Amino acid sequence: MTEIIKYERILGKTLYKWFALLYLHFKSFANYRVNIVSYLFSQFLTIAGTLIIWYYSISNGVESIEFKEIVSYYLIGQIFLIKITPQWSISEDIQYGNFSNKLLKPESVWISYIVEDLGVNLFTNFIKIILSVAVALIFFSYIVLPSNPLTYLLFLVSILLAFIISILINFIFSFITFYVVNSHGILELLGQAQRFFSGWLFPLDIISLTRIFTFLPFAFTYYYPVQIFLERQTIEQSVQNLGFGFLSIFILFFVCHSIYHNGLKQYESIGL
Amino acid sequence: MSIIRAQNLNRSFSIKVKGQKDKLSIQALDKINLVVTKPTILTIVGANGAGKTTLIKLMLGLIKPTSGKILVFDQLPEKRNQAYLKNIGFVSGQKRILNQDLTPFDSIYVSSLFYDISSDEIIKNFDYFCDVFSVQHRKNVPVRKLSLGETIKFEIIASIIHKPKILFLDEPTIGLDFEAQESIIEILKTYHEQNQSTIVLTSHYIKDIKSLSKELLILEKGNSIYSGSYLNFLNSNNSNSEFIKKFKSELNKYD
Repeated sequence: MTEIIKYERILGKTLYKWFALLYLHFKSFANYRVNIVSYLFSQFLTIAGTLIIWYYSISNGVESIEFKEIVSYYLIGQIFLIKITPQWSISEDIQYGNFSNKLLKPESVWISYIVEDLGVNLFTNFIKIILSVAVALIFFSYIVLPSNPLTYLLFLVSILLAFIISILINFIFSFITFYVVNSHGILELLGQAQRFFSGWLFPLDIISLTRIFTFLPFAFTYYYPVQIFLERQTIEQSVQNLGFGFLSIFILFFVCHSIYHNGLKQYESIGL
Repeated sequence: MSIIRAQNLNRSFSIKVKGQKDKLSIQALDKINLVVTKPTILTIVGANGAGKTTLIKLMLGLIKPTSGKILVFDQLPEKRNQAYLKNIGFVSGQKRILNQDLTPFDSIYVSSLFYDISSDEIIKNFDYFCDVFSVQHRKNVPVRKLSLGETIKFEIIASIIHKPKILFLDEPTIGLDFEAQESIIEILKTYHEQNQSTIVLTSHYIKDIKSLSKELLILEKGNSIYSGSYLNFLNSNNSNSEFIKKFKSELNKYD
């Protein structure tokens, strides 16, 4: 870690300690090269597979959306929406009592899980972005860029909202472990719900039945930001949706806070 | 100001038993009273399930009492305020805090930054403790490659690098060979003497108890059956408790 000490003066004490924590977890992940190469291939297969499926679906009769729109819809989400998955480590820590280590440190438990996860996912997010940008360059003529400069600002806000809402949803699901002991099934459910209800698998508005999912907070983590970027909504609609996004944050925070604090009362710190 | 003060401390757990409708209520601790006013080494002794670890969890604020009160440095540990957390250290013989994929230095350095000590001080203290623990040559080896004894030593370094005023250890020498055990006992003694820190530990090993204890708390099925000075305990001879009789005989055997 001596390699990062030089940043202590530049960043200041508070920021530096979080940076060091992020770097520590990045370093821990980066130790395993085979893992990194495997992740690279898995991302490539995901992106290529998704686009191939859409290409053949649209060529064979899916008329509610064009391939061009899907390319933009999918790649914009991949490039700009950050993957964050602290739920697995939080849940495991609660189940096996390692959560106590976090509780006994003079640091914010929530922030520390976020920073650690960003560190672990730094490389995977980087690979995801690089691969998506490479594919976007191949399909450059297909990418729809915003015509209104205000859209970029709204998109930026929506990315921030997506990040916060993702974290809160992940926290809520992981804190359920306080009550049920083993929550692996619940986290699997969360993973599938995130893919399905967020609009990651397909734009929620192309099937009338799935439009109902646009009312769930998951939609703010993928569907709405990409809709804003692709200008599939008017500026007024986008602003209104961002307002609902902010409202979701308040509600989710309240739920998360109460699940966490009630959960702590049940926590028995197994094995100390 | 007292260092630790427990008043009528109770803690019970409800356990779901297979095939039974109602949950089983277990009284882990029953009306424990304890006062520590000056820096000392307090050893908590008792059979498995006596409530030792539950008491440490309450002192650390990881769980709340069912009734009664516990204060550490006149604060409720369960509040986990920053000032309290910066003054404590904790080691478990059975739980690891160091990142297995990195070197002990990497993990300890980052974790220490949260105790408001500068990088220079962390490096200086780390080197000092590595010398004291004779693990200087292993500080750049990934934690997963270390022996159990070396790992425990680094875990202790991680817990004392910020020089806490109170150090909690739950069976720190479990599974260690006699050399590692002896060296940890010496280190804890030295740490206590040099820093005037309080050490609270649980252990089943007679050697740990004999070498370290200044104060003793003996628990039996959640009840305190002895609380006081270790020397007084050795000199007293009027207990009816079977556990105390056996424990004393073990202490005598060790001589």
